[in-house]
Amino acid sequence: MGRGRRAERWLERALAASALLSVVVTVAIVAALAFETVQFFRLPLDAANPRLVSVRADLQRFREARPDLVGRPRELVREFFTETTWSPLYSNKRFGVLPLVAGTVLTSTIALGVAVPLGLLAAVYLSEFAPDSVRARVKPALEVLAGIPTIVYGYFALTFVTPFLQDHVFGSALAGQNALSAGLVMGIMILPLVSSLSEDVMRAVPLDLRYGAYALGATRMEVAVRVVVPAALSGIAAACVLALSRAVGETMIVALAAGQSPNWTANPLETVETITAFIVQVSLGDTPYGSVEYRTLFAVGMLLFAGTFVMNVLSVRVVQRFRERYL
Amino acid sequence: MTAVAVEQRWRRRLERRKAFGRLFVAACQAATLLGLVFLAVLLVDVVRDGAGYLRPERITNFPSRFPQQAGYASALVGTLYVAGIMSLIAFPVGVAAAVYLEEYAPPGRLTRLLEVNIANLAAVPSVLYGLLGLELFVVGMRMGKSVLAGALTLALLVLPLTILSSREAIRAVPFSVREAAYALGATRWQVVRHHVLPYAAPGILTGTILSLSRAVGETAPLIMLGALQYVPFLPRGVLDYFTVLPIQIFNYVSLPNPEFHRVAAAGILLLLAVLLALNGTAIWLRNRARIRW
Repeated sequence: MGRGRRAERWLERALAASALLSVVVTVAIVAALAFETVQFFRLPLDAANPRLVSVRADLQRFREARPDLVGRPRELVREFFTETTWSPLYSNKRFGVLPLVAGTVLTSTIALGVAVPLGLLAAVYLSEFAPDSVRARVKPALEVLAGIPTIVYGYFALTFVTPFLQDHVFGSALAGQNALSAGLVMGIMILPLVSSLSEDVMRAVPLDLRYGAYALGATRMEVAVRVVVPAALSGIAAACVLALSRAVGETMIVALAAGQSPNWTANPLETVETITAFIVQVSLGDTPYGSVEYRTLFAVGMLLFAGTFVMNVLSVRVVQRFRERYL
Repeated sequence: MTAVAVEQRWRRRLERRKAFGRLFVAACQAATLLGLVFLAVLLVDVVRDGAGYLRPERITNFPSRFPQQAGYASALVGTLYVAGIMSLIAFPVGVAAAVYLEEYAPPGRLTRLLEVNIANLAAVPSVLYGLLGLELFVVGMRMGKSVLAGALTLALLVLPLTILSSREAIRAVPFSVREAAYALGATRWQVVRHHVLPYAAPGILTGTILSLSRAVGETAPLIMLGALQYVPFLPRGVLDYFTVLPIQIFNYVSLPNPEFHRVAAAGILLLLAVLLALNGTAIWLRNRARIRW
């Protein structure tokens, strides 16, 4: 075997190593989140360890605030998943994560309520009705919406949408930071995700199907709504799930416009805090490694990761399970 | 019912169906238009708020307690610095991974796993990359909240995007090119190096520029690493503290004084100008170097 061959083999290995790096990143994310999440649920045990408590001020504070949890990690797990007060940054320290989940669900639902109907109608228009010249211009223009940094949307939601809604619709019933504005703007942000992906799958529906329906006397709208959309349904559903996952993980819009106080409510006019906004809030302060605040970051991060991961897997499954095959 | 009556009823219904269809198309058009109108309102609003504050001081001055003097000097330099180092790390690795997956990887379970994994990584919320960067680079590797930690974190964030776009570009090179080179006795690497990569280069470059613009606009992951409210100096080395444009904008928006909102709007205009330049370059490259096979 010549030197050239050997060099080629080493090159191939280097390239393979680059590809494997993506697996390493995944493993690192999961490992970091899992490790620190375990550390979070071990807080009651650490707080029961007198040697640790004597050197760590934050553990002392935890002990003073929650003597009932000391030595009882199971109790912390129960509280985390079932109670409705989240105040780890304050002196009373309650660890019920449900308000953050509620804030996330509320803003994401509003966003989907905007993005799915508008995105689907836009996709039907671009795929079935728009002339080529219009589509060639409008599609990239809509995709610009997806390229705008989220901080810009956050600014817009906070300084334009909220005052606008206060002045013209809700009056003072709308809080300065609220789930509604954040959700609406987030909906526009994910609109191109729904419209572009749905349009792609609608265009992939074979023309024969449309011709068949026309031959039976269907109008253009009937072809679009009763033939093309059902045929593309798996792709459309996948697009919607992906959009939901994007909305759940979106950070800056909700951190700026929805607020930073956890609120167990379903009222979109109120201030709420999402999981991502809490992560930003903690990061803005000083969080020494291993402190109570540091561990809560990763515990809620793990929750976020698990949620979005399930949705991403689901969207792939939906496509495989419900795909209509045309030859 | 007579045949004439049936036909009359059918005609009436047809008219109704068609009218309904016209309404539906109008609704579709309105939905499409709404997205574009929103985009226009957003841009007009930012320009209206920020244009008056878009003066040379915004670029030359450091952050300040006085809105008239507050600027983005450290943020602009920080963005350039972080984005530059990130590109040096992410793009070679991303392109190498794409070359492996397209040209070398044997079809099978391992390759499938790699592909699924990359697709999943691309959908992980960016704020979680910030948590990874905090644990791995800032704490684990003791880099502190430095330029290097920020660049590495963003590199991991854009890696899946770079791989996906580079793969598309490589896949667009037709097989006949490779077969011709193999027929002349080229080795696999020679085929990649002399034939596939040159043809795919414009596409790869376009994709990498788009990933770069994604990284420049990212705020959330870097807040965990460099959200210093006040950076009154330019980073001198890779281990210095830093701030970037989106974070500086976030800081100004968070301040109660409404005048700072206008400073933030001016910063948004700067950020959008940077992104416009990047995307413009990408589009120009794509159009200039388009090859028709």
